[in-house]
Amino acid sequence: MRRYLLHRLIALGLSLAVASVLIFSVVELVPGDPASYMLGTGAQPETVAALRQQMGLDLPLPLRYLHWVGGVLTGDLGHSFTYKTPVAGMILDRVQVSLPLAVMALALSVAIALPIGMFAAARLGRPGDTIMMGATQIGISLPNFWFAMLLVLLFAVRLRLLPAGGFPGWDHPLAALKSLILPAIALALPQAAILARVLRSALAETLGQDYIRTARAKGLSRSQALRRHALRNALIPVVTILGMQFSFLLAGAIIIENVFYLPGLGRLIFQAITQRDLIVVQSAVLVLVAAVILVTFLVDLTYAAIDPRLRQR
Amino acid sequence: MRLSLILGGLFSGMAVLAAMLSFVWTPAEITQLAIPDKLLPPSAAHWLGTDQLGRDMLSMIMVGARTSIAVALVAVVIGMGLGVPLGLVAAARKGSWLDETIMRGNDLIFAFPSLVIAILITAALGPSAVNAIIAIGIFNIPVFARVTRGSALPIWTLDYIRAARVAGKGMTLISLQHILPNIANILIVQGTIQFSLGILAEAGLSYVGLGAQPPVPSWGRMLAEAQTMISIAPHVAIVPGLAIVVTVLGLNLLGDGLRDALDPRLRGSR
Amino acid sequence: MIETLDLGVTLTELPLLSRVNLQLKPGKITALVGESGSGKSLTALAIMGLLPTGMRTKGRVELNGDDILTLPEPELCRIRGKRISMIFQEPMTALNPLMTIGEQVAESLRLHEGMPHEAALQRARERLDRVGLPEPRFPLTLFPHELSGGQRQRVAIALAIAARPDLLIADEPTTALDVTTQAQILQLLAGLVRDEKMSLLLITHDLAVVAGLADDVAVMQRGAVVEYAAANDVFRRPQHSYTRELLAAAAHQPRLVLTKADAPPLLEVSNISRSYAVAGKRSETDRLIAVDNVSLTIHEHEAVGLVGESGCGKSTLTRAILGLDPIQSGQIHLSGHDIRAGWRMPKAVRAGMQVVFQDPYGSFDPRWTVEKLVSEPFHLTGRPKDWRDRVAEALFDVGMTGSVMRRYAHEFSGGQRQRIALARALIIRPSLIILDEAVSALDVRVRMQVLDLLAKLRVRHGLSYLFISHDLSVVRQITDRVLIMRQGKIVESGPTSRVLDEPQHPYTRQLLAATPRLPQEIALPAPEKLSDRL
Repeated sequence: MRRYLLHRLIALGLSLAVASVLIFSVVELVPGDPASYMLGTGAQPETVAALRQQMGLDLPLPLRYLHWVGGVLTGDLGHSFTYKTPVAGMILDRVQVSLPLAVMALALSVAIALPIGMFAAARLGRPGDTIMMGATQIGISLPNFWFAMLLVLLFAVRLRLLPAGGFPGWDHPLAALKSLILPAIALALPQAAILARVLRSALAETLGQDYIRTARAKGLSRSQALRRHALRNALIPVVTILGMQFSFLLAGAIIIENVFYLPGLGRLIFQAITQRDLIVVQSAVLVLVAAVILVTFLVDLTYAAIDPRLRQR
Repeated sequence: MRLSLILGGLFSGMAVLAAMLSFVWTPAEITQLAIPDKLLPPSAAHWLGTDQLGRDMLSMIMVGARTSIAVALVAVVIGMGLGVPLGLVAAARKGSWLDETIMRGNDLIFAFPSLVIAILITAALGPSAVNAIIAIGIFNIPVFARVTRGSALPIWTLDYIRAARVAGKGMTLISLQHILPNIANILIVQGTIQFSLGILAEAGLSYVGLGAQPPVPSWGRMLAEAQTMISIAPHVAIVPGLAIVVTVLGLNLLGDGLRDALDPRLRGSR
Repeated sequence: MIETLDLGVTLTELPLLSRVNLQLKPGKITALVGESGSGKSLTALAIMGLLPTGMRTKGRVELNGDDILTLPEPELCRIRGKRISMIFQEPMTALNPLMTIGEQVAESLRLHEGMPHEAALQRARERLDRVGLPEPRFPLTLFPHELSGGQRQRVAIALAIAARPDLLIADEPTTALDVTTQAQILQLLAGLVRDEKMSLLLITHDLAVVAGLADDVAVMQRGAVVEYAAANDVFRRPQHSYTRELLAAAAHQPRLVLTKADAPPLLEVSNISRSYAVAGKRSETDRLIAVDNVSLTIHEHEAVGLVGESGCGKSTLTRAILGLDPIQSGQIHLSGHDIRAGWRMPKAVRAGMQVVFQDPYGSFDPRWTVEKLVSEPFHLTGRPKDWRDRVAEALFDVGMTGSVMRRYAHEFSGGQRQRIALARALIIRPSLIILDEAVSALDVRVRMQVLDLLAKLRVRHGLSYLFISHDLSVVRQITDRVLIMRQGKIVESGPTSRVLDEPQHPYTRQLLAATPRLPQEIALPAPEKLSDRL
């Protein structure tokens, strides 16, 4: 167990290090000099040069990388060129929207997928299974931003039940929650469809195992065997997908944030790129990737919690 | 079971056909603007209505299908072309440093939120259909590498591989003669899945303005432009969305149907 | 008592099983014997009410006079595990890997007797003690992966008998186990029948396993019971021709070919060792030594047996000889050429030996035709112009016609596949063929035919064999010399008849004692005596 943990931790650190280098290099590739971008086309070369020096853009690449990473490690993510505020604070603000949204969407996704997956697995190959799987097939095929537009059309424009967009901030908790409901549904439904399919096929696989036959020979009914023996064994692929979905929901909500005008992390990155606010892009992407890698690590730990064979290593 | 194959073939075939047909014929010229005819609901003259510039929606959808299909297809080709060889090598050299490097590289790409990186890439290279292809294609590589390695590994343990080794065959020959043909089914199925995901991703990228640029029509951008019009003329938002859903659903059903049809465990039982 | 009356199974009108009549009395062991596909397992599943969907039963299964086939599913659930229990062939996968063994045994008791958790665990403890897994070595908190195959089968037995059923059905319970473990498990089952007054339906393909153990024997062929009588009668006075065939095949000995003593050595293995790092441990001392300083020689035209139980290192040794896996020390020479494992072993050296594997299903690329499969070793020698004729010739050699050349491996039976595998091995005329458990997966009558074929081919082409097996009785039939391997070492070697008749090493004796044997005085045409063959 300790070895397994250590192994995972090393992998975690290594991934983070390589990821930071990659992010830094890709961001370097983005054309356009931030300094001249900020000052506009009519700026004097001397002014641009001065600003470049002030921003540290004249330093050699490796040094700039180290400078950045050093800052990240001490919690100083630098200052945004366009907003003139500390990047760390900006990211923190945005996380307050992105994180609850991701958590809500994930919870919703699980709440929808679990019953559907178990329902279908209990009737493999029978009409109930076929209908459910057909429905999930449609769910997977929905572009979430289009689904979001339809939700807005129905619930905001026609029924006027929920806001069509914007975020009032957590000072108004109820309004804030309300404004996250439609985005969460739009994000969750296609994810739930994927999750339900994964759960069903994992259950179908475990239901064919010998130990299920043993359980049935012991006198367990089909559904008892499913719940007591198959479900836990089917969890590993499900947890894997859950981890990937959480990452996707945290970072991939950019488009949904756009549909609903939500000030989330994804939209921050998007806006920062268009404004060539590279320090913001770098740090925000790093935060996202770090979150994803951390989730992967947690997923690995969950494996060990589920499977005693992994605990032994 | 065969139903998914038929429906899938029908839906995706329709999209491909529409794209092909658009090269020689569309109901109306899409470069022709007719502002007075804007936002017309579906009618005999315009089967799917007109958009905010009075262009025929059906024609737009047909030409848009080209972009979607081309981008997604080329991205799959990129993913397969690089991912499959990487996966084969990793499987053949299981446990070696080469395998480790390839798989860790894969994990790393997976750790990046794909959409964010796609946005970064398109931002770096400038928004265009080609760069959308690159951005989507890059994320297809680890998918194919992983699937290839994962399905090749159990085959490497089979006795016929040992027999081939005893017959003096090397890694490359075994990979090409024995492994690849036996995992081709799985790769084809994965290909259709990535194809459908590619169409969704392309739509997303063009929705935020990072895909194909005007005047080339694309489903995603049509949706973006329709968003503000949604309460006045819902069809401008519904039609392109349905086009995406039908195409993606068709490809998914096709993948499902192929999986069943090609599954060796189900073969011979008929 | 459980009785089946004209029990039958159909799949969409197609009869799979018909007219099975068995009386399973308390305290009695009934053996259900037959080759694969004869309907043994189907009978068991029909009694349990666990047939795959789509299959229908006919006739009756009576539990103390009441038909249970017509009972609704919830009623059946109360009978399964409580009145009728079952254990299966593969102990490695029969237990839930995520649940402790205590919980798995206790589950049965909580289900059927409504016992509280603690009490159920306590009873589980007793049951595990009874099957030979005592405290403190086997606490209830162990997980299945921490146990060996034999130990897992004991857990499966414990959970099957936890609620003291009237009938235990054991479907090939020892087939996946080593002979010594097999003997222990059979002993345990017999003891349970005696002590608990339950009845046991023991399903097996191996007549020798039930000799001296079963009270009654039912022989099945193609979905029907062809002979059903007291065990003594079945073995001594078999009535049905099929039973006689089975007994004859099991006792069959192919004509032995003896080699000249002065034949030059062909394969020389000297002092080779190979060890593996144990998962989770890094230090050198914890390495698993698979092959420990082994030396052996095979002379030209000689057939040598290598016998050992699973994990003894015979697979590692085989792979090393085939040049598939590297060794850490020692040397292997084939006709004087060095064998160095790796992708670049010279083709000419490789061409000196070929191999036939155990698994008739995994041995062939499912997408290749027979002619392509059989001609694959030509890669070593270059494919001659008349390669198709050569393939046909090789197929003819193993008793198959050239008409099979365009067909695929899955179109053939297990025995035919092993013939095709032999043709593939023969096509480039190697001097040594390694037979890696080559007949282990075959039914007894097919096995007999393949063994005969092997003996014939050896004479015809002057081949040497390295015959690897876990089964001493098969080795007796085909080899001149035998090596007994245990824990990476060869513990005994010598002429086969000497080693098997007068074993020196205690391990060899133990193996021999555990090997199931048919009663000697079977009323059959006596097998040729060794002296006749010389």
